[in-house]
Amino acid sequence: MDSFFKLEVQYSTSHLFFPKIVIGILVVLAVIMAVKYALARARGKQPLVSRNWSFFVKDADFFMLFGSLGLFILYILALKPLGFLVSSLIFIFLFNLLFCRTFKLKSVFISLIISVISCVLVWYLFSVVFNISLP
Amino acid sequence: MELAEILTFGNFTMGFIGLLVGILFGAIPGMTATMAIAVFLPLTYAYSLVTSLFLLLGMYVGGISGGLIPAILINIPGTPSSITTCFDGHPMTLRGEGERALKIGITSSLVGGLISLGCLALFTPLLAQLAINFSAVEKFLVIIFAMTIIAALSKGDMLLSIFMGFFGVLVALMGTFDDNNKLRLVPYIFRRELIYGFALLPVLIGLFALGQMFEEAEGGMKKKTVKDANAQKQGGRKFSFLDFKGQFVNLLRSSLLGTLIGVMPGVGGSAACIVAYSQAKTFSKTPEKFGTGHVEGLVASESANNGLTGGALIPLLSMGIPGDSTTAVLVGAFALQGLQIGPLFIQEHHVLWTTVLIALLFCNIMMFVTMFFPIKYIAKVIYIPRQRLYPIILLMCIVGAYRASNGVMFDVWSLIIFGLMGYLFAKFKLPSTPFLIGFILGGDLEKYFVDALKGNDGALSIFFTRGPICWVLWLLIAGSIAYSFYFNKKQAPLDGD
Repeated sequence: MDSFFKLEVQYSTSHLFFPKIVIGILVVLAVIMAVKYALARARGKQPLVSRNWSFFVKDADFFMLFGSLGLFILYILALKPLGFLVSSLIFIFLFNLLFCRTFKLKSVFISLIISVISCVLVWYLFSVVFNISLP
Repeated sequence: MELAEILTFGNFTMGFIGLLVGILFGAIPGMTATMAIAVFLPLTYAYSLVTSLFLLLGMYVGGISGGLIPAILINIPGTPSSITTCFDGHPMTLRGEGERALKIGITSSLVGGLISLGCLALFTPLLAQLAINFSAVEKFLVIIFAMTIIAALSKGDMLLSIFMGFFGVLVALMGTFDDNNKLRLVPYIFRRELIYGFALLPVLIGLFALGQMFEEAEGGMKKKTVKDANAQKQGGRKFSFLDFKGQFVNLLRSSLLGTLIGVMPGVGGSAACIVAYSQAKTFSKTPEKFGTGHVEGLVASESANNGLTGGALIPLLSMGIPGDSTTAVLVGAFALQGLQIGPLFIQEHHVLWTTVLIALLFCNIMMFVTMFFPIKYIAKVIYIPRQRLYPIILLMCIVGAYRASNGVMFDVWSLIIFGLMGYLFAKFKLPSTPFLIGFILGGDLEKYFVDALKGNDGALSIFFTRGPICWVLWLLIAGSIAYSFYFNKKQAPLDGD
């Protein structure tokens, strides 16, 4: 009986000891939740996934959503080859255009001003004043 | 000597700047105090911890207080912690008493902040004193208790919250295990990048800033400020401090409730204001007036959410367990300076402890001064378009993630991973705060568990036989689980689907 309540921690595999327990707990919880959910649905005679459920919100702005994700990835990729200041100037300007969704001269002009001021300020503050290296 | 280091003009200026930034983030719907602190963390790299604390606590106080502005004027809570402020604040605006409502809210916030500060100063040293004698066993149980309490108070989603907490723990375990220097849970192609696991800062910024941005982008960043005309209406009753006549008990009760909920790990500001609001309604002589622009409701809501600030810092500074998502981000600030918070914090870093108290006092008073008198002009911040702010936030995100571990490009990539994760969490209504707290405490949880077992030849009985503190902790754990079962049962018919 006593050995049942013993957990030997072997040195060579001790890195896997606790993760195994955590994964075990996660699996048990997931199973319980899945069963509870299925039972509740079956009792209410509802299908497992309700018909009017959709992943995206109504009238989702896909252009802006995937545009911002794409721009962000491109921004990170551009950081090394172009350097922090140049790539930030370009991409913060593009983000402004994307979020405003208009090409009116005044709006584009404001975007330009915002990107120049914010990028130069952040760059100046960090790399010149604080002497912290940026990408 | 100590005070001379803290009471400098520079520190107070930083506190004030933090406060203004916090109010801005709090007042713009869709942006929160947590986001402000996460985004501005990298700035603190260049300052001492004393100065950083002024800046960050300013943001915390400002962010929680700023939320009342849009709640009262346009019926949209600026932060989750001002949900109930809408109920009575906005009807007052419709009567033309917007300014009066704002001033009542701001004054209640000040009282809530100060009362919770008193609790912080009083109870943190006591709790730390108790926690100093904790061995690995008690420390392990305290973390487990923290995780069950998160679950107990997450209305109806107890299993899900525990699941998210342990999921956070699992993500925290990725990387090398210190005891035998072996890598685990890491895909082979990332063996170099993830040798120390994910850094805290990209996780924080990704979850709370980038995830939010993806959500807003999906919604098209449309303007939320529609019911503008009503805010301009004038001619209702003017504010006077006599409005607080008879509110003393309400103020005290709501502030203390807010503080208490702040102490409980992972329970956010929305719970604080909802509990205080419903209690105020229960105890009120005129409960039917709630929701029609009643001063009592407004006072309860605003004093409770500022009461949260001091409360959430109590478990953090006494045991290293963050009380809410914003204080979880503060862990990042300490970590950035190579400091781990635990029971010894007050003894070993007395200057920092005094700083926290002075900074909170200063920021609460400054919050009142800067918001009370020029409130008409401050209220204009809710009209700043988010489309123009998000690009700047992105810029700060990049800087923050890159600086997390002295310039590693992989941290910027993990920003995207956790940004998408935050977005998916919101989509599937998975709570992100338990995940974050699990992530922060995961490493410790493993260390204490393994240490406790190793010290006792692997016998699990050690967790029950260590002494009276152990038994109390087990009782508390059992109590919080029992409470949530009872509460779940009671809630179930109300929830419907």
